[in-house]
Amino acid sequence: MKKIVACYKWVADEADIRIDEKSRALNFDRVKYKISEYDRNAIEVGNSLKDKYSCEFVAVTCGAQVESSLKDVLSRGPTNVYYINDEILADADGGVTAKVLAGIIKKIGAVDLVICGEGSGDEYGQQVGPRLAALLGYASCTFVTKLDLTDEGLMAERKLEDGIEVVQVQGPAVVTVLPDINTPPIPTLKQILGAKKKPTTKLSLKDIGLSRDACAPKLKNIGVLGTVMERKGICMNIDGLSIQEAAEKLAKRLSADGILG
Amino acid sequence: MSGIWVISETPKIAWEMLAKARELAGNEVVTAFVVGDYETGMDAISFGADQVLLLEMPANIPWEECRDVILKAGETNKPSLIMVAATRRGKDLAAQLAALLDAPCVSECKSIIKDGENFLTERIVYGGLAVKKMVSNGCLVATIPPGTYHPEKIEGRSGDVKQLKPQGFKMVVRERRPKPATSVNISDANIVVGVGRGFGSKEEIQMAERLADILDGAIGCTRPVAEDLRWLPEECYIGLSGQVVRPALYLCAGVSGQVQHVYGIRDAKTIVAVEKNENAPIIRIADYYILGDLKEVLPALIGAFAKAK
Amino acid sequence: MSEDRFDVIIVGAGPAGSTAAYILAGAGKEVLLIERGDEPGAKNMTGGRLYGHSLEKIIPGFAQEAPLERRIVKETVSFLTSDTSVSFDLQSELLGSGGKESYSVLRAEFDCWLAKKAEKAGAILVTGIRVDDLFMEEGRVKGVIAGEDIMEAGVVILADGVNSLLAQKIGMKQELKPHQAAVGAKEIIELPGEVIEDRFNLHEGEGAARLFVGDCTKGRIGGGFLYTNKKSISLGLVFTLSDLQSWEKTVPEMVEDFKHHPAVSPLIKGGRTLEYSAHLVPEAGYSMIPKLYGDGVVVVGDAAGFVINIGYMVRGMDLAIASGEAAAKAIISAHDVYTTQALSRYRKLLEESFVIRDLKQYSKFPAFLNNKRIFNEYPQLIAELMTDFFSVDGSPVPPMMKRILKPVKKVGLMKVASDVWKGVRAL
Ligand SMILES: Cc1cc2nc3c(=O)[nH]c(=O)nc-3n(C[C@H](O)[C@H](O)[C@H](O)COP(=O)(O)OP(=O)(O)OC[C@H]3O[C@@H](n4cnc5c(N)ncnc54)[C@H](O)[C@@H]3O)c2cc1C
Ligand SMILES: Cc1cc2nc3c(=O)[nH]c(=O)nc-3n(C[C@H](O)[C@H](O)[C@H](O)COP(=O)(O)OP(=O)(O)OC[C@H]3O[C@@H](n4cnc5c(N)ncnc54)[C@H](O)[C@@H]3O)c2cc1C
Ligand SMILES: Nc1ncnc2c1ncn2[C@@H]1O[C@H](COP(=O)(O)O)[C@@H](O)[C@H]1O
Repeated sequence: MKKIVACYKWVADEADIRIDEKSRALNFDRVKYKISEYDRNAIEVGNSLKDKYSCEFVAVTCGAQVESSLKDVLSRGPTNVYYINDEILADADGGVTAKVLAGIIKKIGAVDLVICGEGSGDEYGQQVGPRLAALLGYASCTFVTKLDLTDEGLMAERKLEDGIEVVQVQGPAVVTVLPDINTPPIPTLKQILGAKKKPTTKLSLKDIGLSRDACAPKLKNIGVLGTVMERKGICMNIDGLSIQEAAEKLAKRLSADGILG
Repeated sequence: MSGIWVISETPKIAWEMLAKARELAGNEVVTAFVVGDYETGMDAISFGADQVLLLEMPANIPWEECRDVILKAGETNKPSLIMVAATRRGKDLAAQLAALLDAPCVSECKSIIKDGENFLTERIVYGGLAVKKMVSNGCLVATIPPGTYHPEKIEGRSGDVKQLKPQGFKMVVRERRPKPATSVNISDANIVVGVGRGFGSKEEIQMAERLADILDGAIGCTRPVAEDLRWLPEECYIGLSGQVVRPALYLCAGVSGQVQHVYGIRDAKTIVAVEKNENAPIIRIADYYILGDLKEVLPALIGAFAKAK
Repeated sequence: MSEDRFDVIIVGAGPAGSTAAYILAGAGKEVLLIERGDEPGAKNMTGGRLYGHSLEKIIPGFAQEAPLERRIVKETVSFLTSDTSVSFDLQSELLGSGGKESYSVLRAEFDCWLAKKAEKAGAILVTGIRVDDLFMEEGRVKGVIAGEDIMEAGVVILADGVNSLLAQKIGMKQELKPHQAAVGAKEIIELPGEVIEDRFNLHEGEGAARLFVGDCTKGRIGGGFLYTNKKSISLGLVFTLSDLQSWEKTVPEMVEDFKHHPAVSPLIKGGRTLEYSAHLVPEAGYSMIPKLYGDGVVVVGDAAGFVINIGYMVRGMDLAIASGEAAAKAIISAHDVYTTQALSRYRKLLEESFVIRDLKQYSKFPAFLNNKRIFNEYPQLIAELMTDFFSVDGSPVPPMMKRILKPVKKVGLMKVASDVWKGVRAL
């Protein structure tokens, strides 16, 4: 039975982040967290392979506040979630994250396939997947839109700038998937209730033999500045104007602004 | 630790990066890893490389499998900076190199400044909402989006060109299906009509096309319209992972205005939105908007613009 | 917990549902609380004032731990014409003490907190799931259906809010008619805490409530409200649905106009709108209370129409909480036999509580409100009267009585007298 791992990141919902117009600092006051968008595709790939080939399928995550994600991820198919929750990971860069994830995956042991998202919703560094492959000594197969297991490894379709490339991989691999690979379903009532009964496995940095020094990021963040836009925000069909009238008003406005020839 | 490496699967991006590498390198050695023949190698030298290592990959092996041979070349001298073209293959390779060198990797790096021993870099985070500044110490890997720097040919340069022989691959290419050539180019259009998932069907896009015709503009779209629904070619999608446009007018309909999309239209002079949900984020970043069903609004706009012209 | 069965399933994690879940779980019942929003409070709205008394009874000292915005110590009612406003102010320590405390709240936080309380008491909360239907067997409610899943329960509590499609589906309730519902629309406008305190003359933690009658609804039945939160202002309008059809303006446009009224715009100046929402308010009060219980089912909160709407002021959260409590108690005392008979105790408990008493007390109010003079001519009248009193331009000043009677005559003396009489009687 093949063993499959999906890696997901628990990220701030970027739609909730606000930017202070004066200081351009980011305000996280009303921010909710979510499983990074494209990692839901990754989880669903694992889930459908589990159903198709009756593989063992678990999820993996690490971060500073990941405990609230566990029920959510378990309702999406995996039978267990392995995680490390440590404040020190609040500043983790791609390098640190990959080391921690590789440690967890080695601890799980004999993993045949690791699935990551194309990129995470906050960093979108698109690097943790291939980094993991390098650290684990697995093949790195990125930007995948179709995936199937074979006896020796896997077959995948990759989408690159110039077209599709169908590749065959021998041995274990880390795959990163594009969002067009599937449409992740919304968990159902029974799946959510079922998730509440599934086990979770909490690990520590010590358990995976990683020192705290090794978790210091090599990229130091020296400031995040929000981008602001000044826009007019004028509604065309206010004051009871019909759509027709609003359209004409807009055409006039754009002509006056010198945009329509 | 010294020297700068430039790695690219296409010569053009290598030349672009070489311009920057030359500027940062001072007296240090700039090594270019490129694909091609001796001629290609000499070109790289005239664009700023001091030495060139040609990567000859077997036809059925993905290019980024050159990882190990590149690392081997660096065993004796670890560079202080590795610049890799931010193509999909390049990003894959860069991350693997970074992992094996235990180095940080700045993806889609927007700017690099040398600050003594360190590099200051900038990149976009949170879906395009913010710019993050970072400082790194020790060997840095950065991927550079195509078009970031201007190539500069310098007369009278000379240098070594050597051949590398990659081996030990984990992946084999079974088939390649080149993307059908499209003539789409929205990045230079003066007016762009944006199509979002609010369009109910592929047929409804005809309304946007009519509008674009009248305005003499191009059609753009959001990522799901191109990638999930496949209603428009991928070159059409605008945003963080797609095209960045700077038209005088961006008029969109059925686009909710998520940050990743907005990243690509930030520099539009005027943004107009047609949207049925008054709480959609696009409303907050539009100059003008019409609240309503696009099935009703677009025909009205087609009429009004035709008259105004 | 057996695989697919709970003692109680509660649909909707608003104040009514979460209160019931909290009490039932505390009594050892296996409770499933289902909310369609991604979080409790994500999908619903309120003007923003919670009268604390009913929750205080259930969770004594709740104000210490709940995410409340400000304790209301200042009440203002303003009568508006298009250019004038006349206000009555009440600022008193008595407003916010001795069981009469009220607080401004933001539902996103408050509902989450209350649902978490229920979870801590042992209830299982599931969010992001919409209950599509009730699962019926032999004419009795046996559970809920969500998507493809059936989940069984001894009894189901419908706490799904004003429109309660589920109560309609099993015929316990009719679809709301336009004259039975009002529509409310609200914006949350961000302002720094100090600005709010300066502008409304408040100390830290204190809040103001303002109600507006007249021009804000263009003379139609309804009114405006403003509540101060910690770092934002809730500003909105409520109006009768039956009126809406005859309007030229859409609801968001009305809110926009309201924001620009000279009496309102200085209060929100410099603020940034964080969100806009619109929602129905049941309006017909006591006369529209549906069937409240049946075999295996009870209806609570807005779903049962437990709202007191007197045009410019809406009160529903405290009733929702109290009805959730009554339902929970009735279910506990039914000892696992959830027949119509056993659940009839719910109605009895409601009758004994303030819920039915207050609804009865205001039962004539909707009819009284149908008199449009209150929203149209009277604000005009008050404004003219007051403007007249305070305008000094050197011309001869007419005697007092004449001054009062001039604007009153426009409306008609007898009409004014009779409206005042009706208003008093309705209360
Ligand atoms: C890492 C990452 C990178 C991404 N990169 C990009 C990118 O580069 N470009 C990009 O576009 N997206 C990108 N996305 C996706 C992005 O987050 C959004 O999902 C996407 O932009 C939404 O597309 P949309 O506006 O077409 O669809 P939706 O968000 O579904 O919006 C549809 C809108 O249409 C409105 N509507 C529906 N029917 C009608 C009607 N009849 N009339 C009028 N209005 C109607 C709806 O109210 C809604 O606002 C990225 C996401 C991630 C996580
Ligand atoms: C504009 C306005 C101003 C108001 N001002 C005040 C005020 O100042 N003070 C006051 O006390 N009251 C006020 N009210 C009334 C008050 O908001 C309601 O009476 C109160 O919210 C009722 O609580 P509830 O729990 O019964 O219903 P709700 O709070 O409406 O909760 C119902 C819940 O059920 C969920 N739900 C619905 N259907 C389903 C389904 N099929 N499956 C799963 N979940 C479902 C909903 O998402 C929602 O979370 C106001 C109302 C409005 C509209
Ligand atoms: N903290 C994390 N925990 C688990 N998986 C992660 C984490 N960060 C990144 N990943 C995985 O790596 C992918 C790429 O992330 P990134 O390099 O940040 O764009 C994501 O889509 C996830 O699958």
